[in-house]
Amino acid sequence: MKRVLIIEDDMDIAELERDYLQFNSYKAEIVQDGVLGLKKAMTNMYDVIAVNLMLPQKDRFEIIMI
Amino acid sequence: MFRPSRRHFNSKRHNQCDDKCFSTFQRIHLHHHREFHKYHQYFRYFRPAFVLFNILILYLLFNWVGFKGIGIFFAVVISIKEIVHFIFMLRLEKRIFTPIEKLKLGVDEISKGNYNVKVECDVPNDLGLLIYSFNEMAQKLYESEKIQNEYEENRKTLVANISHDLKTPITAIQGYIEALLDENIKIQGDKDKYLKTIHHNTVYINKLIDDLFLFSKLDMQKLDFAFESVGIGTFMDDFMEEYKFDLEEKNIQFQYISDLKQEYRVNLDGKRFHQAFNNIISNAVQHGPENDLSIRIKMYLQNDFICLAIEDNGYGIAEDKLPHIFERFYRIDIERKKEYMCTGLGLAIARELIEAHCGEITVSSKEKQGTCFTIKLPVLQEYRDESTT
Repeated sequence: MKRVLIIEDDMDIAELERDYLQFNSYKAEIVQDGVLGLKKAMTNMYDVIAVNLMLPQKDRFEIIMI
Repeated sequence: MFRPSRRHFNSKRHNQCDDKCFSTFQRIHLHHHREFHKYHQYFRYFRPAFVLFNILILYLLFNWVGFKGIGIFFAVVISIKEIVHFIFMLRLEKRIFTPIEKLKLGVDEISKGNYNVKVECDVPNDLGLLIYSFNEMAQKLYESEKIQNEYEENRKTLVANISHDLKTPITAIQGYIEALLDENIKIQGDKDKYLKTIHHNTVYINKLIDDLFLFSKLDMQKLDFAFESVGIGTFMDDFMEEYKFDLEEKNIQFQYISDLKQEYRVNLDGKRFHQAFNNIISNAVQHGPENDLSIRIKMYLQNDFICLAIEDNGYGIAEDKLPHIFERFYRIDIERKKEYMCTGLGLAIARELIEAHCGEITVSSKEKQGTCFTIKLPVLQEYRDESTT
């Protein structure tokens, strides 16, 4: 099963994304802030990382660049 | 006043007009400047030539007039006249031409849109007064431009914040509705959860719009207040009873102490004051610990002001964040707390409401110890006089 990391501060949107992904047989994890998201992305292997445009703690471009 | 560097008008037509005006202005300005410069140079360099000419006359007087006394007499008269003339010219240069030259440079800067200018020239005459007034004008223009820039910056941030804060719940609502409509997705079990989320988001949007509406009314000073003279002791006793019941129901410890020795009257709009007070208490509840939260309210008199200190034992606010907490859309917790209906406008509204009562709100906080908001309301003068006599 492919793994997706959702970095999104709005829980409602993140849960909806997770539901859609799970329905399509992906394993999705949610993280609500940029720093934690980056930590998770660095320590685990993900096939796709979905990053919100406006994030707390860290800019999404910083995350994408790293 | 002509201000070529200001960019209030965005249309092409205005820009063309600006360019045309600017070139005309420059042409006239250069012409006048050249004229002034020519006469200034004439005064400056003609003097030595004139002195040489006088020396020549003196020399001729001595040589050609046989009677020496007449020659000496004319020499003394001409010398005195020259000295007087020299002093006069020196003063004219120092008191008239130099200040005009400096003032002209200052005006040039203003016309270019640079208001941060100060003409350094202290002359004890009308020009000195003119330079003083000019400096005052430049200072005021600079300050008003600064305020205008800040206002413009705030407006842009406000629009961006409103757009973002409205867009986020609308995106969620749209997504959940699409999920409900999508026949391929079997979400029967999640249907209730989805509907609840949609409902919650619509309530949040409603609250945000209400807050925005109230705030814009306050900002434009168009909110009607129904002020009345209220005995603050009795008012707070009743008011705190309600809170005690509500908060204790949520397992929050609540304490109210009044240090007032007698009844004082204040000008109050009960509904609006309630709103401001509620925003502060809600803030403490939303951002405080889930267990063992304690809220303590103390009322006391200080320098003709009734002070209401609202203290909590929450997480406190970091020193660098403290100056910003009354700003619109400023959030201490960076995650959006839609479940608490946190719009980021609560404290900004509270401050505006209290300031409309001629009062003020201050805040002090220590991290991991708690926060104290103090509302100050002025005691009504006539009642204060009665109580002191």
